[in-house]
Amino acid sequence: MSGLRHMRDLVLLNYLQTKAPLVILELDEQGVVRGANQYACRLLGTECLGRALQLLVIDFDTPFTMARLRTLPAGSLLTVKEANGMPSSLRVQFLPLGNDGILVAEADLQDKDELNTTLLRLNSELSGISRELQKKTAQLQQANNLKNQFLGMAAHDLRNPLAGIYAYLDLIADDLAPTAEDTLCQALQEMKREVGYMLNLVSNLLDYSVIEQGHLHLTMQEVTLRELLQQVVQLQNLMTRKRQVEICLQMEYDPGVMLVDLNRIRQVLNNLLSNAAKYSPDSGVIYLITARQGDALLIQIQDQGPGVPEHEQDKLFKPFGTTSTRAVDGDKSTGLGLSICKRIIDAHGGSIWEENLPHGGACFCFTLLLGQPEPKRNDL
Amino acid sequence: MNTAHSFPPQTQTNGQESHLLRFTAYLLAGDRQGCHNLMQELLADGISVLSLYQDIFQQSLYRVGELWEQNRISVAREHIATAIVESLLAQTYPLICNAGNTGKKVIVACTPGELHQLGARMVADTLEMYGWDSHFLGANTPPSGLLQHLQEEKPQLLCLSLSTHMGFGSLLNLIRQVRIDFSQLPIAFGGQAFYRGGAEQLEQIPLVRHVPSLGRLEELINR
Repeated sequence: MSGLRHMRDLVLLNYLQTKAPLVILELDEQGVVRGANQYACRLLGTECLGRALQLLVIDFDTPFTMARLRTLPAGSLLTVKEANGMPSSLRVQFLPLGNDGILVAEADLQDKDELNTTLLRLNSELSGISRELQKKTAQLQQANNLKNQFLGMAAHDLRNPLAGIYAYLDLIADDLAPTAEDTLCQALQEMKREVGYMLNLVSNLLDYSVIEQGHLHLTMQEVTLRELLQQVVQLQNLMTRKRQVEICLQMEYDPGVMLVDLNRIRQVLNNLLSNAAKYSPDSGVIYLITARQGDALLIQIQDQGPGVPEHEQDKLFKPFGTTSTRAVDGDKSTGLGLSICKRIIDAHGGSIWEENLPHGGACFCFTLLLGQPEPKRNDL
Repeated sequence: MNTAHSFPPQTQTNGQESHLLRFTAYLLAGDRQGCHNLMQELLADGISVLSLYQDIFQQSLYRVGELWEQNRISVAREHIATAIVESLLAQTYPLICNAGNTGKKVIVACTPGELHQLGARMVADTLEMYGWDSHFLGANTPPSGLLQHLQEEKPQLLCLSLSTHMGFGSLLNLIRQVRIDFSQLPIAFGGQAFYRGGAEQLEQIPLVRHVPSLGRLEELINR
């Protein structure tokens, strides 16, 4: 009978040592771990052997000592540091053996079950929210596409009549100028400016809607850069003549022929140069500079205007991202020109940005890849 | 030990079977990244979302469920597998939410007490793919909440999901409650609970129809 009991004790002891999901630590009177079963070694790491209890137990007040362990009621919660560094809460019981003792600890299964259930529920809820968000995003995308289509149609139908009105106003203003009263001339000039603004706005809206709908297709062709820049500078100089603003071309680097969409790059240059002129003081100078930057051509447009306030630089290239800076002649900005420029440059594989010059003035820069760039069709 | 299941018959090609085996192995190992990568690989190869749901997600979860029923894996592992598939479903939404709008509306819900919502979610997504505006109410939908939603949304179809046969009475009661105010509303029901039968009793109620698989749901929509 006693032999059988002995066998049973051995079997149980072996189970506790090797299989039982219980932490069993033998502690000496200083609280140093002198023995640990396999589960404890897995949970706390084999390094727990020989270590003081206070290094294994996370205690937020004072180092955890044997004295405190002796006073803990059975079933108290204790937080230990697992081998993977994660904290784990265990229900502990201390079994004194003279000055030494055995610490037995087990995971709180009820807690773990609750945690498990909560995590599953949260995961389901999160997944549901994610589903709703995706659905709303798709609906917004559809609404946005419709809006762009509407914008495009409206802009397209408005542009031609506006262009006609502008041309007639121009004719009338020229014909009446020598004879008409000053107030009438002023009124005509004001009408021309407002209609010009509207024409510019609908043209930009049309461009914007085309780009937003992914219909901007680049027609790449070989372009002699010097010729293009000279033509643009000549045209812009004509337009800024009244205010004696001069545009100077400085080609520090000339790549010769480049592969670009001629009309779109001309549009970018005209936009940046006319912007620079609008914010330049009378008799100011604008520099159009070309340079090489790694594998790209860098084009800079430097003006002597007030520059862009630092906190507004972020919104410069966003649609309708107007800044607080006012043009010298009071012209209103549509807030679309720069965002269109950005889309065009992005489509060419380049980048565009603005930086203020150290002695005042703004410098708008953009790059175009040298060699044979493939237009980024996915972005269009 | 229960080994025989009568899941909806699926015809798997060798390639599909090998993907299914891989996916199931990742699920059982709790390898979310492995599952994600395989899903991306299959999508890049042109698998349809419906096939992904039906032939990979659904079939692998059936296999996981079978292993659980045979006590070969723990409930925790089954839960991890479900959670992984649930997270993958969320990643497919951009692909399913872009279908046009047919103007039809459906409410998809789980019966009261039913905590397994994955099947119902796949049904909601499948209908969404076909241009339905699907309102997914999730697990354990209280009857009062469902009735209120039906009143507000006035859908053309109600789909109810049940995963274990223990909830049969609850589903029957729910359908009867719905019928009081919505006598002409078509109701489709389905779920793992009916793979061993039991659907006939519910189908005796007018306009109540058992839909045993996503494939059959697709047929129903196309009709």
